[in-house]
Amino acid sequence: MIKNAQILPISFLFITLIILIITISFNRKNLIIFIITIIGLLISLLSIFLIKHTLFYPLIMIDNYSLFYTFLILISALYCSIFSYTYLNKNEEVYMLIICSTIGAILLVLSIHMTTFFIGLELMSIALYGLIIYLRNDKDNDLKALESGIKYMVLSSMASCFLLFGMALLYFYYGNLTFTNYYFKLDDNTTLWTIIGIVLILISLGFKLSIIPFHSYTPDLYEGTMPPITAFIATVTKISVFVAFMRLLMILPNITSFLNNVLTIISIVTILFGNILALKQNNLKRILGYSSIANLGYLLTVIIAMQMHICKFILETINIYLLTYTLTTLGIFGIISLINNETLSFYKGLFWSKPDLAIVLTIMLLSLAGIPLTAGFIGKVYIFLNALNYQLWFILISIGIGNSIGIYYYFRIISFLYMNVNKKQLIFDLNSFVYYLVLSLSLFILVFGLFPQNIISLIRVFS
Amino acid sequence: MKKILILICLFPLISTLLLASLRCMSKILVCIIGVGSIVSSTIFAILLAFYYYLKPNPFLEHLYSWISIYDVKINFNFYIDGLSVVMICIVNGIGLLIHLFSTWYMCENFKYKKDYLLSRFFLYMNLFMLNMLILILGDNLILLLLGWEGVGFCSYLLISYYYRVYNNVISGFKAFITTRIGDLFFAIGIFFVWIQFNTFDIQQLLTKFSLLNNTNSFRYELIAFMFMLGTISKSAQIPLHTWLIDAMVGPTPVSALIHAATMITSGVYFIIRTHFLFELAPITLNTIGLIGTITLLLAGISALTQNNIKRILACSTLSQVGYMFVAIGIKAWHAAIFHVMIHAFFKALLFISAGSLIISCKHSQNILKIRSIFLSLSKNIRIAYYFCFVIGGSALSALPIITAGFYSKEKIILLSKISGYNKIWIVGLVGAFITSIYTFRTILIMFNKNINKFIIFFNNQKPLIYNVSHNLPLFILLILSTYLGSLIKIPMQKEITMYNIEVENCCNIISSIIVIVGITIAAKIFLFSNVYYMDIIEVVLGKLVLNIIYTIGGFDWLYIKLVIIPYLYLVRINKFDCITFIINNIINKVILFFYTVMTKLHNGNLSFYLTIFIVGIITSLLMSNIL
Repeated sequence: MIKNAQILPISFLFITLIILIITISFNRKNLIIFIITIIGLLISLLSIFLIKHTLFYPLIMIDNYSLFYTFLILISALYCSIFSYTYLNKNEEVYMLIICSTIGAILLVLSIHMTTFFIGLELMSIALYGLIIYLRNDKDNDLKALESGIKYMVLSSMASCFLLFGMALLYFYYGNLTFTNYYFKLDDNTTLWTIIGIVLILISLGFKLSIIPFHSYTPDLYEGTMPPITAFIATVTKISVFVAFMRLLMILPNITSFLNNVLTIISIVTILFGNILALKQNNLKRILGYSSIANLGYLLTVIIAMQMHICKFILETINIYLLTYTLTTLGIFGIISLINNETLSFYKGLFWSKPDLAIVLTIMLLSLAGIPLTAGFIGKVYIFLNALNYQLWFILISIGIGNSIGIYYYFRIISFLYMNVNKKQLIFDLNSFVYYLVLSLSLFILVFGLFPQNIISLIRVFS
Repeated sequence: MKKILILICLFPLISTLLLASLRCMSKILVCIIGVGSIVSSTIFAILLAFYYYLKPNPFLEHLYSWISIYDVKINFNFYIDGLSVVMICIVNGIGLLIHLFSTWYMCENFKYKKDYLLSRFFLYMNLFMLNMLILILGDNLILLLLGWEGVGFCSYLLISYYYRVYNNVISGFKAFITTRIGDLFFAIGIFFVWIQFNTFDIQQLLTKFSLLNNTNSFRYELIAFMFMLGTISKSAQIPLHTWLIDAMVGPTPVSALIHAATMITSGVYFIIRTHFLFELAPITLNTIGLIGTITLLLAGISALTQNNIKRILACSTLSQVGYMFVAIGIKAWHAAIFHVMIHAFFKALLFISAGSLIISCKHSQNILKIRSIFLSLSKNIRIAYYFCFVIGGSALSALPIITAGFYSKEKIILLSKISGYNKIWIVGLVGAFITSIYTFRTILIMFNKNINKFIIFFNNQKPLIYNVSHNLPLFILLILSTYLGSLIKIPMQKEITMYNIEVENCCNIISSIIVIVGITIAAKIFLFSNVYYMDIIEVVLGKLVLNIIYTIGGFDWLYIKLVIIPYLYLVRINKFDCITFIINNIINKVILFFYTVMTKLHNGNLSFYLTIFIVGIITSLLMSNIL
């Protein structure tokens, strides 16, 4: 048994990062950098399985749940770097930034202290700015990327300001920055300033999760960035920030019961408008941006249930929904980066030129829409059961309405795929490796939908 | 043990997948895969039966738990007891013989009806076997429903197998929709069971029933009634029987396997499997008995007026299943299953020989036409056919002592007398009388040499080759239809009834006399003059009555007038209903309004975004402090 195996994943990533920086300065061969990245990510992925005990430091805490989220983050980072290898020819720095951002995300997931929390968040975001504005030598896209990057940077730094302000307010009241201390120092007459502090922290996290009304940058960001990076934003960022959000609320149960009504309203609005906004868009990535807003709205409902009573079922719901959401999103962005076009009209009649890709995309979209026999259905069932268990009727209704609107726009894309148009054979050479990766994802989604019990019990191992 | 159970179901599944994926194989390969899978499945079924014979203890085999989310648990279990072993042996044995026969039948038929795919036929047949096995073995109601729907679906596919004829497809639709109506009630019954007992497993249900004291019987009545509606649609009993007669347009082996021997009796099987539920529901049981009696009488009378050989056999199937329902109605579970088995033997024999006869007689199904062509066949073949039909027909009409049908059918009639259901006893006797008349009417018309006025010769035709796959099934079924078939013991608990031998002998003698009288009357009427038979009936009864009898009660007409036309009318009205109006004009517009408003917020203007952000923060801060 290796001593302190608990921090192995993150330390392997650090080593990979250092090796990458040194190698890039001497040798700018794309393939070598790519291989180093993949090996580093794989080693840190495998090192998760070495960990047998939980760890409780003042700054970070490693338990089974955080290991599961680390696992998800590493998987998505792996997929994103493979996608970007095929998408760009000269992209050595992208790997470095991805690794850097992944380290931040993992730190955020593990954090139980405000410093690690803030460092993780900023490490992730700052590396992300670089990824968003990464130039592709393509005038239109580069302009869009620059624009969206600057917007994101300005808004994100605003959010960080509020986050720091909220932390300062909490420190002012408690005189401590550890999360756990807040839990022990609970009393009924919490002052106005603590509530404001907590709200500010939650808002800045909500901004990262693009919850309405802090969502305005999301569609532009999704449209502007390259598909592999969009996949990264849609998975790694969302998972890590959501987990941090959850941790914070889990530790502050009584204080945040003030927030319950606000959270309910926000989640209802997020679900409804996230879905409504996606209705008539003509850009696939924009649609996915809105759908990610709606998906986080669904996840937020679980958090509202958590305010009332924490039990294993809620955590299992979050695990399963995050897993299905991550895999489905990765699959769709994989296909987009394979085809390298995001306008919906380009996908017209895809089935008649590339039937296999169209079927894979259909499976992914069905999973997002929550149709039975796919993984997404199981996730939706859990969300529904959760809302039913805690009798959140308004939320239940809004989930129903949101889902039915969602079915409309997902099926709109699917109907585009199978339209019969007399078009010439689309010519794009598919990278077979990415193709098989996407295929395996869609198979996994189907298997999850068909034999949910096996995978649910696999997930229960982590808890 | 678990492996044997899985293997029984696995072989049909594998061959189904193989046949589905490799569509264009040579005919021989298709036959080998299609029949071979059933052979291997049968071997394991026999192993299972042997094992059960050595150690007759019922047991539950856990296969796989499909889903378990906290208190919703759906386990896929197989349950083995005497009942399921018997049914497995019937289904696999008869299925094997009919698969073997159908290799001959289909190959001969393709000379006449070209461009249908042979692999499609065996694909559906194997899929049917798989579903039937799941239906029999499944202990969970959900698993049972899977098999239940699966057999219905395969029956639909096989009825409309010759899909290039429009009428066949319509018949398939009819069968599918009618059984779907029953399946709906069946599913509702399952939901009721879940609400009432919180379980889907039949064995758990049984233990819960044994703890129950009989207080609120209305609920059990309701559940049993729903299940009864499901079973009468599957087993083609009187109000929902109309699909079976039309289902005869499918290939004859299909009629033999699905619409005579196995699927049609799955309703009987299900009731006996859950008989503890039906025992608590006396009203439903009486209804079942009533339905059975009506069916056996009406179908028998109808068979007297039919001229198509397959339709006659379908009517006789209806009336025999009616006997099974009567047995259920008087709680004679053992007798019902025994009749299921014996009926499967002789009905398969009759259908197979009818199929062979139809092929030999240039694909004509009318018995009058068959008679004309039949005489042109060679003498040995004629004797063989005659022998088959006489044995099968006498088993059907329960000729005393020598046939198997006597022992099963008389038992039901006897038990109805002993249990004190005198009316049912009389109806059963009348049914037996009618059965013997219409059976021997068919045989005597087809094989009568005396009135050979129109002989049609086909000279320039190659003689048919009757190979092993044609002869072996006929031979085995011939043996099983005689007294030897009734020697097969069913490992199930018999009904304990108090009766003395005198009553039994007396009853047996009465019914034997009735059967023999029936055969004599048939001989008197049809042996010499039958040309004007239909005309005479028409004059006596009138055209309307004859039509009602011919269509078994005219339910088709009733359904068209009472259900289909009003339904279509409602559909036409409903085309422009208020809900569509609301969706089109209100909901659509509201959503689109929000869409346009919200998209205006995404104008790409950074300062505007910042404003939204700040406003959002302020509102949420205010709300969190106020609320």
